[in-house]
Amino acid sequence: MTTTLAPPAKPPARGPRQARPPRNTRAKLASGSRFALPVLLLIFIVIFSILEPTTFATLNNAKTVLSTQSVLALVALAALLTLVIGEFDLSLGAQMGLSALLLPGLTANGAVPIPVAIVLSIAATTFVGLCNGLLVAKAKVNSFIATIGTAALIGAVVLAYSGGTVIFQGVPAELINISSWAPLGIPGPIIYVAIISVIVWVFLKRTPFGRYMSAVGGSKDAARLSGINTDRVTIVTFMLAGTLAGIGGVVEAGQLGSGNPAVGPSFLLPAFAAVFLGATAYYVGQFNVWGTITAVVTLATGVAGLNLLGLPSWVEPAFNGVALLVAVALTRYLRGKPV
Amino acid sequence: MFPTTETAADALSIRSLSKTFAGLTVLNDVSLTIAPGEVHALLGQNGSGKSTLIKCLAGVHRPDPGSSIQVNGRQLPQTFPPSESSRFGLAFVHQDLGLIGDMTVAENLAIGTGFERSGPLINWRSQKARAIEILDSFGLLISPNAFVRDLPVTARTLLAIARAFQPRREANATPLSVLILDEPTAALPDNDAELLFEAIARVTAAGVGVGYVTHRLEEVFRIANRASILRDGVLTGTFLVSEMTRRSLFTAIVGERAATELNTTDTNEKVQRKIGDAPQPVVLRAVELTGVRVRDASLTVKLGEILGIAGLAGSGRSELARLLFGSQKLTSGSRSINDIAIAPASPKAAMRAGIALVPEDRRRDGCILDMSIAENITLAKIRTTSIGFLNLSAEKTQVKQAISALDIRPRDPSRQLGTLSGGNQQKVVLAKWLARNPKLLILDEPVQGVDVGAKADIFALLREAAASGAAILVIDSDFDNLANLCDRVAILRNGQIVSELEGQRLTTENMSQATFGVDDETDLVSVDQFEEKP
Repeated sequence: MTTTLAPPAKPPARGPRQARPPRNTRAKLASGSRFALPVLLLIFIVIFSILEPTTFATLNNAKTVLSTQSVLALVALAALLTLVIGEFDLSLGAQMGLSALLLPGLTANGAVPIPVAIVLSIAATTFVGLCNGLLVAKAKVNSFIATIGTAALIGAVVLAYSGGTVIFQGVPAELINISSWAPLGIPGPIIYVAIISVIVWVFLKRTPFGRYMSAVGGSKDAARLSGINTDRVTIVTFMLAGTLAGIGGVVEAGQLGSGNPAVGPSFLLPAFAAVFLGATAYYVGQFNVWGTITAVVTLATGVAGLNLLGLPSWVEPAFNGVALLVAVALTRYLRGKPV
Repeated sequence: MFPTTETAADALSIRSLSKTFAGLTVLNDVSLTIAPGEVHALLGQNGSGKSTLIKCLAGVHRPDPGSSIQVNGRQLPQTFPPSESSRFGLAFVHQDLGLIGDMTVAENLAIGTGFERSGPLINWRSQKARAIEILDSFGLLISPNAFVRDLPVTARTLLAIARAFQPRREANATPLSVLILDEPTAALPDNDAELLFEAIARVTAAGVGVGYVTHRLEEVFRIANRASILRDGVLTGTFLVSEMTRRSLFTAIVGERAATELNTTDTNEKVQRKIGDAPQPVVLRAVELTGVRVRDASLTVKLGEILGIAGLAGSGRSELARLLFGSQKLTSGSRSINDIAIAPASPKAAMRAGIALVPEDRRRDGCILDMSIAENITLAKIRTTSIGFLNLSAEKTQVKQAISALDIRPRDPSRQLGTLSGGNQQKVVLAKWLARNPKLLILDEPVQGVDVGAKADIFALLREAAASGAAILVIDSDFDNLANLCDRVAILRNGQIVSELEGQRLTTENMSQATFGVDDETDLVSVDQFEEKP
């Protein structure tokens, strides 16, 4: 094998492809940054508690912050699912809004019993997820574009259904029980998020389907060549994201007690900010459930604290925007490749 | 109005050019010159360092200290951005041509040199007039308003050359001294090569030196004045083409070696192993497989046999693998495993029938770099508990076994695959498929980018797998590997299986000659492609 007549002698030129750039700095930063986000949360809590001991550092404030963020957490978990398979679902905010409008709309004047209306609302967003999945997997439309399109269509449906006004007449008062229910003093929405987070975590980490999702997100070609039905994984993932957004809408409707056609799309950006920020924590460079939840709480705490300090209302979107950009750039760097 | 080089200096002068990547020397002390008006062929096999050399010229790679590149007598700086290479009088036409399909011919010509303007606006009339002037000078009878995507490939190639050659708009711009063409004929229909050669003649008539990378030897004799040959990153020589024959050029490219020295021990051992064996049943029977490039390829692999596929790039090697695995659609033909026909549908059907494929592009198709060693090894056969969750403990045992059986380093199952060396990544891919106990294991370039030690390990594993009852089909562009590993080798040329070699005839040289179509007696090259990735 030393002297050669035919093709060969690859080692020299093939070498460079194999030799990876030194990633020491990145690796060190990645391992060091695992707990940066929870530490940031602690710092927020400590600082705001010192600045506003009577308003911020109270159990009630904590409950309020957490339960108002529960809808965002559910939308973020939905966004997490699609990001795991390497796709964007930009219609999740609109989907949540659709569900949050359908539930009071359907139950108004006792037309549909509340449990049935809940199922229908979630089914509606799951169907939207199915459409998104088919567009992406079968029609091969870029998920970014496809979901912007469905988001616009949902917006149209919401306007048509509500006539552009808040639906409150005849909405049963029991609707708010969904979110005001608080066993042992723990607000229901917090319990829902806790349960669903655990389910999503187990689903991603402990089921074959979750494994397939990571594989599809890692390399669609390699996944397909390993016998994974990548189309099916894509479609089902979009449907599951729709289901979670729908559940988020149900909780939102419970909190509002009425149907507001304007609610929904504004949840999209902070949800993505949370997922990307979450990817910098615990399992660095990977979208993960606990990072996402920590990020939701951290962002909410930051915003709540700033609000209590009496800062103007533009602080919140600015805070979320900066968080999203920093998080995406950081995730990009820590993963060593485009997100 | 076209640029000319008026000095007697070499158009391009490379001295002591070396390039090292992470301790690996890819180019070693390469020196060569291209004279004004010369066509200088740059030859070498895959991995010989041609691409690296071109990238050093283009500013993509920074040469090692001590290297010197001069264009028309002017020293190139140690580093410069690739966008600036034209400032030094260098131009490149890469294989993909770099044209923008959705823009017109005139617009494409303007990219790089700038648009004709009236004030801040583009003056389309003079832009088109200039485009027509350039097109006419190359005998290109196409409209400046035509979209590039609508042009035939030959016109596109000529357009790319015209674009590289057109005069710079700025008054003080450096005129073009050197044009590097990277396999310009690779995509051209055979009859159109002449048009390209005419275009090149126009370029050289203006005193521009042309560096011409090709694998087609007859083109070298057709247009080149001199040829420089790279082998393993070393310049083995620069020759006057008029003093060479095809065979001497071929030998210079692949290296000298007596046929008798070819892995005699290995081959004999294998022959002995086979002699006396009872005839084994046929596992894979592929009948007249036809895809895009592959035509009517029929082959069989027996139980315990390692069949090699030898072919040049472009011969359809990888396509054959994809057709067998079902990841590419069969136009016609059929496949069966143990005489049970396989549905043509999908990789999944092939996997169910017991076929496994280790694909050529490991990083994209073979494995998932973001996932851990354990997740990759178990991906093709996920173990679940009775209620459908991942069976993590069974997984752990399996992965531990695989890691020690294949000697995968590091031994940590949770390590992200992307952090492993190429050899270890490939072992993980192998482990993934071996976990399914495949009846037929297809490997496309299994030791690509794999170091020598891991290569020996992988070959040993394949022999073991064959001995324990798998049929194996290996595609490798390194014929030494095939000679070393295989019991039998099928020669794939232009999409057709033209012959088979086995026993004493299974030598590297026989494979080279058969794949090239070089005949011992007549000194002819009938197949012109050389080893190159599509």
